Amino acid sequence: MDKECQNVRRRLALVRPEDPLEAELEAHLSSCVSCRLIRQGDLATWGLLELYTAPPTPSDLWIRVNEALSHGRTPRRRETLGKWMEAFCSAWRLAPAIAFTVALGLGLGGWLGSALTIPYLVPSTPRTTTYAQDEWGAFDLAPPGSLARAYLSPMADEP
Amino acid sequence: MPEGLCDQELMARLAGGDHESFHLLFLRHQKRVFRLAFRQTGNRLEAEEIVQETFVRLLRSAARYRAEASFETYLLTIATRLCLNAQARAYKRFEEPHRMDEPRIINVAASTPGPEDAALGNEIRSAVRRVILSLPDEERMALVLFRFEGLSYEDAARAMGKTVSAVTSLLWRARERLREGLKEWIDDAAVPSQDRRRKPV
Repeated sequence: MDKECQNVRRRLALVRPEDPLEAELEAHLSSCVSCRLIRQGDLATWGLLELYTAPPTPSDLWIRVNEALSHGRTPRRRETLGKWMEAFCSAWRLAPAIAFTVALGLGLGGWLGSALTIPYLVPSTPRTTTYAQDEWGAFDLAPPGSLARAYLSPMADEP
Repeated sequence: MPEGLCDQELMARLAGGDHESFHLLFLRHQKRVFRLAFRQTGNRLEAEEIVQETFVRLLRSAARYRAEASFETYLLTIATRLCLNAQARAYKRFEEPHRMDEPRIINVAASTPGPEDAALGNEIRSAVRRVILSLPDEERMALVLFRFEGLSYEDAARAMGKTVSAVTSLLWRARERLREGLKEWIDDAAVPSQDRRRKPV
C-alpha cells in the first residue's frame, strides 16, 4: 500500500455514505481495486450501523421535566442510583426499627439486672479497708513519729 | 403564535419567561436528544434522565444563550456533556454503565423475510449493538454525533469540547474497531440475503 492509498483510505473512512465523494477520491477509486474494496467495506460497516436504532421516546417525559423543574432538581429513578446510595437509603428506612429494638433491649436488660439478684456475685464479707489506709499504707515504712510520716501520711496514724 | 417561530426566536421568548416556547422546543427536539442519549448509553432509563436534565439545563441557561451556533448543536452539546459526565461518574464508582435494554425485533434481511431471515437479522442487530457499546465512550460519542446525528466535524468537536483533529482521530479509531468487530458480517454483506446463513461453529 503506497502513501496515496493510505491517505485516501483515511479520508474515505470519514465520509458518510450519503455524502458526495471528492473528485480526487473518485478518480483514485476508479483506478485502484484494493481501495475500492476498502470503500465497499466501509459502506457495509456504515450500513450495518443503521441497525442500531433507538426505541420510541416515552410519552411522559414532558411531565417529568415539569416535575423536575417544580422540585428544582431532576427526579432520578431508583435503578440508576448508586449501590451505596441504595444501601444507605435502605438502612435509613430501617433506622426507626433498629432504634426501637436497641431501646427495648436496653430497657429489658436494665429491668432484668435490677430485678434478679445473683448470689455468687455478691461478696460474702464486706470490705473493711478504707481509701485512706490503702492509699497511705505505702508509707508505713516511715518510722512512727518521724517528720516524714507526719508530713506524708497524717491520716494513717489516726485511730 | 409561537408555532411558526424558529428555535432561536423561541429561545429568546423563553429567556423572557414564556413557558409555551419551552414546551414547543421540547416537542421539537426531545426525540433527537433521546436518540442521542440512548445510542450513547445503551440504556433507556439513563437516556430518559439525560433528556430531562438536558431540558432543565436548557431552560436555566436560556438567558445566557447566544445564537452563534445552531440551536440543535447547542442542545446536543448539553446532552453530549451530560452523557459523557454520567458515564465518567459511573466508571469512577466502578460500575458498569447499564446496558440492559435489548432492541426491538426488526427484520433487516429481505423484503419478504422468513423466520430464518428474522433470526439472522436479530443476530446481526445484536452484534452491531454489542460492538458499538464496546467502543470507548468518546469514540462512541463521536460516532453517534457524526454518523447518526449528522453533525459536521466542527459541530461534533464543539459538542464534545475537543478539536476537529481529535474528533477525526476518534472516528478513525471507532471505524477500525467497528470493522474488526463486524468483520464476519461485513464479509457477508455483499452476499444476497437468501444465501446469508451462519456457518456452523
